[in-house]
Amino acid sequence: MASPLHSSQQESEDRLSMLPDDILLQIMYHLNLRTQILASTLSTRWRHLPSMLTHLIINVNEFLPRTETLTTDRLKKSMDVYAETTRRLLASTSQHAIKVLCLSFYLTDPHLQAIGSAVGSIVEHGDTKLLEFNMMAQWQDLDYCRFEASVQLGQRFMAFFGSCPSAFRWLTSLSIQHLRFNESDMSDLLDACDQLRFLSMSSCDCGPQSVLKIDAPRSQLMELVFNMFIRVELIQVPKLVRVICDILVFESPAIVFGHVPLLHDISLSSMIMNQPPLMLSNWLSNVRSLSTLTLDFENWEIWIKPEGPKRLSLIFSKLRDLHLCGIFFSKYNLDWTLYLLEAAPSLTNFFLKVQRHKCARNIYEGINNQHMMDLQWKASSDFKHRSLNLLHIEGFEVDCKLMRYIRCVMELAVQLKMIRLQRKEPCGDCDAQGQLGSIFSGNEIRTDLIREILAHGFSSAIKIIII
Amino acid sequence: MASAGSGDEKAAAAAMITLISSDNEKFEVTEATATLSQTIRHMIEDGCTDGGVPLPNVTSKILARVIEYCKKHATAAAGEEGSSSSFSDAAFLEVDRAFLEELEEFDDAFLEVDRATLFDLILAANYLDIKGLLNLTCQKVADSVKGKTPEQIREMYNIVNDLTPEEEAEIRRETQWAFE
Repeated sequence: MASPLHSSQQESEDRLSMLPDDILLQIMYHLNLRTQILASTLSTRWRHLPSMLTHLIINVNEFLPRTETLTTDRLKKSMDVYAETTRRLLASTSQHAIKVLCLSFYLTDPHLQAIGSAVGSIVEHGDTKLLEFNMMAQWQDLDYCRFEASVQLGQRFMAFFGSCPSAFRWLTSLSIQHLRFNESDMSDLLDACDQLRFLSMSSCDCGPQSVLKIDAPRSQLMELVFNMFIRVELIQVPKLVRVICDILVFESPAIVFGHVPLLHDISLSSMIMNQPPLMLSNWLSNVRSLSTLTLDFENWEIWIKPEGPKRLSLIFSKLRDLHLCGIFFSKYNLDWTLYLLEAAPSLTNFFLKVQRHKCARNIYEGINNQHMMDLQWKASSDFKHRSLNLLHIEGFEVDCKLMRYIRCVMELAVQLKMIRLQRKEPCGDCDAQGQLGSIFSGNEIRTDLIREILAHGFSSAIKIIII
Repeated sequence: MASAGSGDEKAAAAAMITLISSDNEKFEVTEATATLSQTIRHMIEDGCTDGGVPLPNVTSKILARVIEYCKKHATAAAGEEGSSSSFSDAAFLEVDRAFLEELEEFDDAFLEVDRATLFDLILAANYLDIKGLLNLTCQKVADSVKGKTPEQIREMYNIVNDLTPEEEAEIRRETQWAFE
């Protein structure tokens, strides 16, 4: 870099191509693969740039027809090109290290073998820090017979796994969908993929109502996402930090916690539970350092059993973020959540997502949340919360119960710094019924009024944001 | 050195760095602003900034723009450090959402430059090792080619197609899908 950088050079100069390789690569990293490939056809200067990329993201979506309907035949053609392009790109880069390689593709034969061996020969150098497979299911197969298709896809996946051991040995992230496994498949997979840190299984199971047991003392798995297994037993998963379960109906408990010493972030979403309500103190008794808990009731039953703070305080002692979502609260108040607050002295951020429709749109009136309704929260006489900084309520609307609840939290949480109220999504039918629109219609003056009502009698240190 | 103030002011005002452009213009900036450049940060750490930092690769016109960027983003960085650490990221983002929006607006306006200046900024950001600025300017170039055909890109940037017809045919065969 000897000469000063002049800006007043001729207009006709190709300053872009004159940039050094590493800057051109920087620019390439902001482009998707299609544009990277198009750029490589500009001139000889550009031709070999794709083979110098150390981060490659090859997504089959870029290969699919943009206007044409995606038939089985067309999908196969796209996967032909995908597999060939992947093979060629990886072969051309074999002189240098690929640090990040993310592949998204359909589980189609005969492409898997080609993709797997191309990847295997790259990752065997040992320089790849992140190898991600995101495998999609063919919707065509699923349309005709979901069950048979997922069995077949499961077998195809396992054959792929069996034939490409080196790719799977270096795999750090795996997302799969619509696969039905055999009983032993999952443990074989987890044993072999000993670098795997992220595993997402969408609509995957081992048969109807199946249970997944993970006993993997050497596993590096940090994050697990599932939505179909009726229960997952985490017998030994020593590195696991986060588990996310979103399931329609579950048998209590949906997740069994064994040796998971690092687990601190748990998320459970479900509409219905087939059992008596879940006792958090029992369910989470093995989780030693819970810091983030998300419970999503999906606007249906509140499926946790009310418990006093004494029973909960052991599991909640390190809890910092609590998300309670999908709370349908037309009949019931939110007082039960204050027990959770009292039980979690370290709680810093409290997120609530409530919903109700005044119009007849919801069909939830018959929900039996009687056990919650019966609960009358009585604070310990001197209870004050000294950590809570943020109260966030999504689905806010002006409602006596909700306003009273917010003021109650303000009174208890002496360190509260911010209340963030996110308005309820507009619903034409509700608005047609009138009642709510008058005081709260997004008008700035009325927003101030709400703020004033809430803050009346409190110190002005609490910032109230209405969005 | 600036005269000593009190408390925080003193700490902030104490460290001023002089940057000298290729055309010998001097710019006085705070250390917080200057150290957005990793290159200058290392020079400060090695104690070789007395008497000013000569930047023979950067003209005064470009250096003034780079400093403008660094000043704005140094304030942002200071704001981040200063805010309460007990807020979760989401909450923190909310507090500073207005500020982040302002920063984005600043960046957008900052990028309203002619192409020659944009390349100068890229080279300066690369030489001074200012990651945010390099990222921002490279993104701008990338955005300008998105959705364009190779022919349009060539025209836009005066790129001469020096591939032989045979090479072009071969490339075309291998990359046909990207043209569809």
